[in-house]
Amino acid sequence: MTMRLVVLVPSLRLSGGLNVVVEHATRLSTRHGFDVTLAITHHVGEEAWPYEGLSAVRVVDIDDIAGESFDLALATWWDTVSFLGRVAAKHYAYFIQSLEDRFYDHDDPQVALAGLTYRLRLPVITEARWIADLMSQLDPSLPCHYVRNGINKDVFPEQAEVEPRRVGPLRVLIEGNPDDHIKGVPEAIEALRRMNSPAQVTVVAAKRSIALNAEVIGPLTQRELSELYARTDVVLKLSRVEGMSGPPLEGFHRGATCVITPVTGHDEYLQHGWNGLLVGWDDLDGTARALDLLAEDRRLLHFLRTNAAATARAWPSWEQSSTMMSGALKALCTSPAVDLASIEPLYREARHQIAHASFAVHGHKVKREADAAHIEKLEAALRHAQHEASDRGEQLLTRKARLVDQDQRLIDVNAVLTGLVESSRWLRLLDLAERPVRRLRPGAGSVRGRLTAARDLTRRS
Amino acid sequence: MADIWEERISPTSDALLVGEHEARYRFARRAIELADVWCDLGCGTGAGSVRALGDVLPADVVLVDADPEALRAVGQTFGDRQLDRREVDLTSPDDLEALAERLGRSGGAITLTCFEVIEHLTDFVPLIEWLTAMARSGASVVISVPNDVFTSVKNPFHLTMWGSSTVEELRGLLPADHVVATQVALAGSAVAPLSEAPCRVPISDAVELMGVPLQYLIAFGGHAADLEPSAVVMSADVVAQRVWERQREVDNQYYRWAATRVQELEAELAEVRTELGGR
Repeated sequence: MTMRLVVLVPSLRLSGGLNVVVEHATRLSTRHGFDVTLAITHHVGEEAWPYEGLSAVRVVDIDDIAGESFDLALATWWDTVSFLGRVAAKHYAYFIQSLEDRFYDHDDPQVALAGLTYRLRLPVITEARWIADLMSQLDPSLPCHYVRNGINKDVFPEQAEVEPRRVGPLRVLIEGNPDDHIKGVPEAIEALRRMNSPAQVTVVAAKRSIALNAEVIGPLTQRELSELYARTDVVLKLSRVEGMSGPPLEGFHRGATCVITPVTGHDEYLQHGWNGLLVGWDDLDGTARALDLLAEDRRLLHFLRTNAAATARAWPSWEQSSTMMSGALKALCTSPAVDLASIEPLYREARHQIAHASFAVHGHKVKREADAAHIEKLEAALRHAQHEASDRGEQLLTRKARLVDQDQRLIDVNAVLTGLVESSRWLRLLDLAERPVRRLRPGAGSVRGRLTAARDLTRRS
Repeated sequence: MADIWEERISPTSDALLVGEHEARYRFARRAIELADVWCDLGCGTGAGSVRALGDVLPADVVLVDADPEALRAVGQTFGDRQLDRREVDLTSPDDLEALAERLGRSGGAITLTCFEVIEHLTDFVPLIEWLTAMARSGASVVISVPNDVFTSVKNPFHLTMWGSSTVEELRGLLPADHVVATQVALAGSAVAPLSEAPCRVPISDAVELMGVPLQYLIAFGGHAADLEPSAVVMSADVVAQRVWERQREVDNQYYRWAATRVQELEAELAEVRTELGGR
């Protein structure tokens, strides 16, 4: 009996996570007899990225499946969970490719909203063992299937042998959008800058939003990317958050090794010192030294590349992976169905409460930002006033000093003139002429006495 | 490559390889001993199973394979024993349903073994679903998958690649009470009086098992919990091993010398070119 599966996706834009969904969907449809519908929940009406095989499945907007019924509805990106209630299905499940609450800043309400989706007790299918372990630890009774992502072996063909690269600069490939902080692309470029040995760097990004001192190309099709990996020695991946980072593994298939942080999911394929090198968090100098080591020790580089190619040969193809996915989906359909009708109102209420709280938080945040801006303005005005006052004070002081200086000069001139008058022959004659008057009127004073008093007064002032 | 690959062993195959197969059947021996019907999916030539189970086979033995030649050979291996040999497509739900009907005919306890089969199937999910359903009906089931990740050898007959992660994936499809065992390689040595005749020696029974799994065995249903560790010890063909190792050593020496000689010749060629270019 054909199983009707609807997979909820936010869009069909270019992304690693959506590529995984399409790879499974096309093979479930063409190889395992599933009737697969991809229902777009968020970016409806957009033109889809030309994923290979997409024509094998039905693509609709979420509103187009109203009135239809399915055997299983599968949520993918965290916010598609909220659309499960709009789908009539016998079973519901959640395909978790990462814990997506980690994608946002800690004070972003989407952290709470995304985190909430993992607590709904929806049966889980996940691509990473660390997620499977975590979900099982959170709720051991929860149906949780582990299905690794496959690799398209037509696009990324395995290497029976790896040709040694004895000379030339180390060819390093960095994958990820530079402005996506969880991908660590600027850090990777900084680590390369700190290398002593020459390196040829290529950055592959879907967006080119910031200037980098490296060749940035993209977006690329999978086949173009594969060709690039074939001309690469090392895939450098300093991501902070991943479900199961695919690029190093794709590089393994084309004979490249990798230098990677211990990001979640790396242990699916990396063995330090066997098929790649593990470097510490925020250790850009250590990363540069690891890259220098590979640039200088070409035997080690060849050893790692050879074992990386061997790891790739044992990695499942999408055909194998989708076989396992078909088993997991069928197993979910034979398990007790989750009662979405009882979950949904609670989930909606929780979303409402979080949204409500986040509005309040947002209001406080906006007010805080407005207050901060106002305070900054006041502080600027105060600084300006202080500056002006200071300038004015300085001007006044300068002016006063100038006046004092002028006064002093006048006093000095006055003193000189007074001195000249006091020592003049005319004053002595006047003094002699005044004597009879002073004898007759002793209190009348003298011209010399008045001159002396005037000089003293000037000095005191 | 496939034409030089010995994927199906026979009684004349490398003794250690036959012993590896025998050990798997010995692991399932208790469940087969307690069964009324034993069905071996992917029975091959029976080279391993006949050594492990010859004395405990139930009355009803159903041997299944996709290859008519293997079914003919297994008849010879088991001699005059009454066998029900069947060609079954293990990816076909219809074939599996018919097989279930055949096995249930006796109404007795059923044990199913399925060693080195799953990795050969284009779609193993119908078989896993069927085995799970059989286990839920009371059958004992023992299956195996290889550890391709360790060897990283691309076996041209393996349509899927297996290792610890794949086993983890598979476990999600099996009944929760399944038991997982790993098969590891043993090495050892024995001392015995010099004799023309083959000599039987006791083997120490307290072996600390460790190391990388060569195969993963998973049992579920019926008597899965009753299965016990098993080991098969055989004389090593050190002569053949010495030939192989010496050949490899000589080959390596030869190719190292050849590589050096190539460099010398390239240098000579460069000199000649320089001389010719100078004239």
